[in-house]
Order: sequence, then C-alpha cells, then structure tokens
Amino acid sequence: MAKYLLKRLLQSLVVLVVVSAVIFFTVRLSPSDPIASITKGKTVTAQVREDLLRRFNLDKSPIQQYYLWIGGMLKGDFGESYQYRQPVSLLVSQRVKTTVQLAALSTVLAILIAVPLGIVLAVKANSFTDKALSIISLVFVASPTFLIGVIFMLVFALRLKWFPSMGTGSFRHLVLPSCAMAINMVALTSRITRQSMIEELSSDYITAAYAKGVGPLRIIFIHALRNAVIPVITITSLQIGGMLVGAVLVETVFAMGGLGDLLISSIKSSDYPVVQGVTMMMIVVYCALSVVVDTLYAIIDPRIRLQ
Amino acid sequence: MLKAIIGQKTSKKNSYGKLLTPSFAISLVIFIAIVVLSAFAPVFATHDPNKNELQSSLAGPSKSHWLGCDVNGRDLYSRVLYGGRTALMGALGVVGLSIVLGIPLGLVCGYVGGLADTLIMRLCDVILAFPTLLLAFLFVATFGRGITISVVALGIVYVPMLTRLTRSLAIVEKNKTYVSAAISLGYSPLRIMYRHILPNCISTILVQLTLDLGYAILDLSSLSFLGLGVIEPTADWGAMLGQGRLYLLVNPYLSTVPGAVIVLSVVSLNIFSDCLRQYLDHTQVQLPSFEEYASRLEKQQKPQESGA
Repeated sequence: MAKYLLKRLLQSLVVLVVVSAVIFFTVRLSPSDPIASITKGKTVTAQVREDLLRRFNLDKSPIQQYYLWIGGMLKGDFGESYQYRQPVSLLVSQRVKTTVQLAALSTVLAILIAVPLGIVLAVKANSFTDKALSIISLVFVASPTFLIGVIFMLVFALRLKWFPSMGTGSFRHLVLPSCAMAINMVALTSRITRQSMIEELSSDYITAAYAKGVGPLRIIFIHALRNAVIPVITITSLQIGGMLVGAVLVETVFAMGGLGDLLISSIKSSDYPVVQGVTMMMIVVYCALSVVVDTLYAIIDPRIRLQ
Repeated sequence: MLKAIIGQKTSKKNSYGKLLTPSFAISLVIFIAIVVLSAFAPVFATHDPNKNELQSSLAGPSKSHWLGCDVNGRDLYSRVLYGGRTALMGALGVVGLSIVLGIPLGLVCGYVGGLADTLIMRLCDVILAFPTLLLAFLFVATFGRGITISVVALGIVYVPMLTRLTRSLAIVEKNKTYVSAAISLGYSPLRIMYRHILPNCISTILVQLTLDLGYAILDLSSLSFLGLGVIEPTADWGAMLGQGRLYLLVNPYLSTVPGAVIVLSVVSLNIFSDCLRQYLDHTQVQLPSFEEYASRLEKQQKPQESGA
C-alpha cells in the first residue's frame, strides 16, 4: 500500500513540474507587451519602464524567471498581479472561499441525490420512471452548466424571487449556483450508479445471496452497493476537474466574484502572474484530489494495489 | 476518459443490430436539420445577422422578427442560424485537429511502442492534468481571444483521449494474425498501420468522434459564453447566450433559444453516437478462438460417430 501510494505521489509530482513549465513558458510566448498590461496601455518613460521590468523580474532571462517563480511558489509567493498591484496569493485568498463553498456544496448535493437515485433506477430498471428519467438525464448531461444557471436565475431568482440573483454573502446566495452545478453531476453520476448497480445485481453472488434467504435491502445496500460504488468514485473524481471549470462558469453567471471571476478577468487583461498562479493552483488541487481518490480506490478494491 | 464513460449506456434494447431505430432516426433528422439550417443560413435567414436596428433593440417576437431582437437590434432568428455555422464549424475544427494529431500518435504508440510510446503517453498525461477548459484558458490568455485560438486549444485538449483510444485498439489488433501476415509479406509499418490496423479500429473511433463533436460544441460555447471565444459581432450560440443573459427579464428568448439549440444538437449527437455504438457492437463479428473452433468441430463430428 505504501509503495503504491509513493509511486502515485512521485508520478503526480513529475507531472506537476512539467505542467508548471508548460504554463510558464506558454504564457511567455505571448506577443503582447507585459508593460502595456501593467500600465493599462499608458505610455511611460524609459525610466519607469525599466523600474517596472525590474519590479516584476521581467529583466531576467526566462529560465531565471521560471526558477524565481517556482521558488516563490514553494514559499507561498505566487508573484504580483499586474492589474491590481497586489500579491496573487492575497487576491486568491480573498476569493477562494466562494469557490470552495460552491464546489463542496454542489458535490455533496450531487452525491446525495445521484447515488440513491441511481439505486432506485437500477432496482426499477426498464420501468416507466426509469425510462423517463433516463431521457431527462440525457438532456441534462448535454446542457452546458451556464445554461442551467441562466435558466435557474430566470425562473427562481427573477420570476419567483425565491433566491437572490447575484452576489455572495449568505447561504441563500449559494443555493442556485450549487444546484446549477450539481444537476450536471447528478445526471451523469446517477446513470453510472444505475449501470453499475444493474451489473452487480445481475451477477451470480447476488443470486446466491437470494438463495440463502438474504433480505432485499441487505442485498442492495450491503452486497451490491459496495461493489457498485467503485465506478461511481471514478466518475466523481473525473468530475472534479470539470467542477473547477464549472465553478468558473457558474460564478460568471451569478456574478459571485470567486476564483473563476478572477481568472477570467485576468485572462482578458493579460494579467499573467494571476493567470499562471490560479491555473497552477487549480491543477495542484486537481492532482491532489485524484491522488486521494486513487488511494481511496486502493483501500476499497485490493485488486488495484496489486497491479 | 470521462467522455468515454458517458458514452456507455446500459440498456441493450437495441440488440437486434438494426441501425434504423426510432431514436436513431429522430436524432439524425434533428441533427441534419440543424446542420442544413446553419449551412444554408443565408437562404433561411430573414435578416442580416450583423445589421444593427437600434429602434428595435430588445424587441419581442413579432411578424418581421420571429424571435425578437438583441440589444443591438439584430434579428435573433437569423443570428441563431449564423451562430450555428460558427458553432458547428468550430466543433468540426476541434474534432478534425484531434483526428489529425490523435490517430497517428495513437497508432505509433500502439503499433511501434517502445520509447515513442512512453514519450507520447507522458505528454498526454501532462495535457490531461489540465481540467478540460483550463488549457484553453491558458492559450487564450497567451495568444488573445478568437475562434481560431479556441479551436486550436480545444483540439489539443481533445488529442490525448483519441490517442489513448487508438493506442488501446491498435495494441489489440497488433497481436492478430493478419498483422503478422502483413509483416511477413514485407509491408512497411506505415502501410500496416494505415491500411490494415486503422480500418479495423475505425468503427470504435467513429463512435467516439461523434460523441466528441457534441462535447466540442459544449466546450466551445462555454469559451464564447465567458467572452474568450468569438469576437463581436460574429454570431455564436455561446456568445449570444452570454450576452442575452443580461436582458433575461426583457427578452428571455435571447439566451434560452441559443441554449435550447446547443442542447438539441448535443443530445442528438449523443443519441446518434449511442445507437451507432450499439449497432457496431452487434455487427462486430467475433471470430471464434482456436478452442471454440475445435469444440465446434467436435460437436459436428459426434452425431456422425453415433450414427455410424
């Protein structure tokens, strides 16, 4: 187990180092002048220009800049934003709460709805409910998160006025965005749960359990679910990445001022330190979560460890 | 990987191997209708999609403007048609780029293997470490907004999945007898990869590509929605939705109609791909293994022996 974990950690560390280089040097390919983004397009004297270059380490060679960036990140310093003239870490820490709340709430919501729903659909497979819901879920899988957000906003915030339409601050502000994000996940996760439960329920060991006289509830929840949950974990872990992007979209719809808003506005104003920093942080979180999921996996299914 | 899993559907109701099931026909008709309406947008459109008529800004549906107008007074119906061009051509570009890069790379990985395989797979890992749109964000931040940049960025994001799929299929094919036969006939690796292995993998790849086309429409519209894709005044479903959401109470059609069209095209592509997969799964002839063949021969011979 320890060996497996160590191998997995090393792998993701290597990927992270390469990813950091990709991020850093891709951004350096930009044809636009960083000084122009710093001064917001104003022309400045050669002296000011030189000072600015030095302040943002732009006078050094790209390799040196990369080392400084990596070294700074390890110490928690992600550089300084061009447009806000504030440390990236400060900007992020002001906004990260919204995004984390949103992501966590929608994931919990999605799992709480999707897994029971999937089980019910598997038990009632091919019934009318099953068929109707599978069509609905197909539509939701194909709906972009921002469309669901916009429709929720129109119906529940603007027409019915049940929830505020934008901003943050209270739990009520979080309800619509989290639901919008969760719906996509519910559609997908319930389909996977259903499929995987049907596969388990039709296997021989379930027949054997029936024959032994085990009750249906015990068969569903103790016997089948334990095996059926593995693909569900995979799909959930794969959705973590999609969720980070989903948060960006939903935050834009509901003007929540989270990490996503910061990223998009920095992309538009060529604020490279912020773009680099936020991208890198999102990928670190994504990588870390997938390591956690893989570990969880190995705990649940011993066969994976042996591979 | 995520997308590969979505494609799998449990119900096996279409197990007769018929391709023309009702759901297939419906999805095909819907998608063809969307394609034709967008491709011949100049014929079907009632107005110039980029002509501002400020006096009819945010007007509701009327006889001359069937779905109303956006904030600049541009006809929504015509813009939806032209937007389809951007969305569909863009998605086609994304998938096309992933084909051009992904399939050759996958074939090399699967058939040649060795160092090339390791290097290409590690490169794929790096790209896959970026959550879908994040790499596209990075590209747009670097090279500026625009549909071309978005298409190229998403195309690159879509490459690793196709590479992995092609690789896994090629590895299976590589060990079959016909490949050994082709090698012993002295065919070049290139010929074997493209003329022998690829045709045997193409059906599975095709299913994945139709699915990818739908996801490319979704991802491109997400970029445009965020204002990172197309540049005004180009019509695009995602961008129209993004702009229309600011006037939700005045004219909700501005965002719901483009949204509905996105969903309709993605759903029809999903169903289409699903039916295609079930059909191809069924028609895929499984050649019997040697043991099966031997046992079949045995069964055929037994009645004769007993009869004798």
